[in-house]
Amino acid sequence: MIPRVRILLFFRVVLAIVFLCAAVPKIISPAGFAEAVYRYQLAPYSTVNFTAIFLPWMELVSGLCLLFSRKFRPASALIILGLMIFFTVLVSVTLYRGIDISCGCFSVNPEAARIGWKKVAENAVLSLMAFFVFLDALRPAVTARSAL
Amino acid sequence: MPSREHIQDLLLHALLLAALSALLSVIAWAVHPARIPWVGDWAHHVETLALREGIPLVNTPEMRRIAAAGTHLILDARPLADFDAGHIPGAVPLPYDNLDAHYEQARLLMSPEMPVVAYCSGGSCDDSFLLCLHLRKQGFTNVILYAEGWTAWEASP
Repeated sequence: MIPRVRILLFFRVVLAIVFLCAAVPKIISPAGFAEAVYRYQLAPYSTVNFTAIFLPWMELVSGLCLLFSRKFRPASALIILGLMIFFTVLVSVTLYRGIDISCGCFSVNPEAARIGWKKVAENAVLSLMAFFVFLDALRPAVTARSAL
Repeated sequence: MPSREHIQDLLLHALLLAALSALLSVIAWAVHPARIPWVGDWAHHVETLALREGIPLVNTPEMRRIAAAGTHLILDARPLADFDAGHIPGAVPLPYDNLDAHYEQARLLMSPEMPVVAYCSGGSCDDSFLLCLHLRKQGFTNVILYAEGWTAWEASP
């Protein structure tokens, strides 16, 4: 049986890699990501660019802290959990509204793969992983035995 | 159960991470070679893109004249369910979210020089703009965009 600590370490590494890989293309191309945010037709126009500039750095900082900072791990896990729940709801609502767009998750190319219920399932799994990582990070340091 | 102090620390750390992210985003914005303004003009984004691509635009009164005259083929780029719920008189459905399934049927009605006008819901919907781009790539030279779309059509007297 795989020890719980290893499973949680695996979850943490996966989440950190996902967030780092998601952040980099958005930071490189803020205009492209702003377009992706706009295409969801949800954010008020005045907040589209702000979101496109700020959110990728939130993803990058949270991803790095989840991986490398023991002190900030609970907070970064909380932010990642919140973001994952938000993304899951966002994609679900967008699908429900019949809006057919590319995700803007790992690529800002509007011709990239379109969102679908598979993306909702992926996000739900990542949310669940983030939930367990957050719970583990909340435990007192002495008893947590969190890897690294 | 985490103590009150523990939760306070957690929230403080989350705020610190948000502040650090904000600081980094401001620094990155200041030095980014392709930076965007903090507030963009997205209200007319589809129209801006269309003009940049050289696609002519029509407003609602012009669209009403076109529909009444029957001089253009009117294409509805919205999902089929929306078309069925209501559309501009004489419009033909060509849903951009399922283009492959409907394109060949719609193409039978078109010739390369025929004036074509496309619309979708309006607002931030860009399916009609993307359809215009697609049609131009297919060799249709007289493609027009009704960017205000169904919402404006329905609202106008």
